[in-house]
Amino acid sequence: MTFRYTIIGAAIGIFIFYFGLLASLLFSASLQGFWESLTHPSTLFSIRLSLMAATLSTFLAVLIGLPAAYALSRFQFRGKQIVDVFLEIPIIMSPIALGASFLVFFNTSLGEAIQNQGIFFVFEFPGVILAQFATIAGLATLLMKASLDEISPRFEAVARSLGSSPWQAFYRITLPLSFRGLLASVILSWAKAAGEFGATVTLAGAMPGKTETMPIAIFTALASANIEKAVVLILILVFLGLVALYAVRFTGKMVRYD
Amino acid sequence: MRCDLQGKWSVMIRIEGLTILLKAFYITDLCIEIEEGGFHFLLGPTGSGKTLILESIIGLHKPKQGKIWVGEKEVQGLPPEQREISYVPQDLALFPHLNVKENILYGIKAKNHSLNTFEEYVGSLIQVMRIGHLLERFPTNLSGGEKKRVALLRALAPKPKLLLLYEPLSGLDPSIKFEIQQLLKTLHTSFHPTVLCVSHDFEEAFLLGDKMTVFIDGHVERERETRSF
Repeated sequence: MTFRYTIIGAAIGIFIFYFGLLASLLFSASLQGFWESLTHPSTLFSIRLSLMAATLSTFLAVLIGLPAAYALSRFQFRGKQIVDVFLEIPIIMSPIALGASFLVFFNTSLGEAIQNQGIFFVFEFPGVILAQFATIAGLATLLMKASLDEISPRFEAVARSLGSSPWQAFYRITLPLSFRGLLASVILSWAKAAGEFGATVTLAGAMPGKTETMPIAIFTALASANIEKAVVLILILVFLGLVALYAVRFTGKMVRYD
Repeated sequence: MRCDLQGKWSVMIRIEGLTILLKAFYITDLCIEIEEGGFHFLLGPTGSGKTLILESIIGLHKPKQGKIWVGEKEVQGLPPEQREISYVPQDLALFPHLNVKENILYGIKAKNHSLNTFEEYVGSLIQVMRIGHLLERFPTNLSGGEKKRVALLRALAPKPKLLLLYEPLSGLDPSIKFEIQQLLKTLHTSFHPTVLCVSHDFEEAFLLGDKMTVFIDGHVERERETRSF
């Protein structure tokens, strides 16, 4: 029994550690200050920008990541292992290094040529999207691949022998069967994009009213000793994260075939 | 073995000189002819490449050389959906998110056939298979024998030119095995599908098949009518 109590104690200890940290935020400012900070236009802008940018970057990551994940899950091709390894680059690479790489890239002739087409990334809103996309695309692809790997290719083989084209077999069979996992991948990617700081601040800067997402606003609020605003934004980010995590758990119970 | 096919007009399936190479694994010059309505067994020990042969016939694996005819049509260059070959794998692969009725009608819908045209035929299949009471159920709520019956019906529903079965009786309880064996016999007698059954079990072949091809170490050892063995 001592063993059992020790390991359960460790689990409860971790919970108390995080819960205590978050609970301490609630006692750090007055209710009046919370409300004022929450309804301040710059706070509302940051929230709106973060939600919009995270949604757009997640959409792009899924748009490219889902076919990539399907290819990696189902087919053998030359260079597959290398592609697989490169998908983990955003996980092992510091976000600031990722953002700095983009800054360097946009200083090259190719980068300048791209920006000369009229889409500016450096210190602009598209830069926020690009930074978040770069951070989550690899992760989203890996998570979606893991979901697709769980579905036996035999279902598709049977569907095709029954007359479905590869595309029909994918959206009639594989997609619905892997839907829970894919949805969880999307939610986790979105939450990671919403909380992204390093790459965004390096590429898009910390420009109030322009590129100041919630994590960047927390940083600038702390830098200017605006603790109440920082706490409000932290709590909103934590709330969004918890909702996302709950949603991921919920997807596990959502679809049942019986 | 050199191909010595008879080339009768009634032949529904002809596999000629099928050669498969995959890394160190090879199958050379596989030749099979199955007459329309025949029940042919392809027998080989475990690890002999049965799955590869099956995948090549369905169109999931590209053989190094060889030709496959389904009726008058040469199909080795066609994708699986254009070969008119239905496949029942060992694990059945019933679509878990579709109920029994949707599983059964999947092939008819996928081929854009009119449901009305197939209504009577599918109805008689359902009757023979005795699964009328299961139509609204999902595969997770079916017994092993019921799943097998649904998978067979799903494969037969779009009227394929060839029904490809992979180890249809293996891994079943003796009582269910007997039931499925009887069912396969009844199905074959009632609807006369052309069947190629890939198996390692000689007993299955003697009980169900009219011809069998035995292959060992990547090539055909013999091809005979089952009663002549």
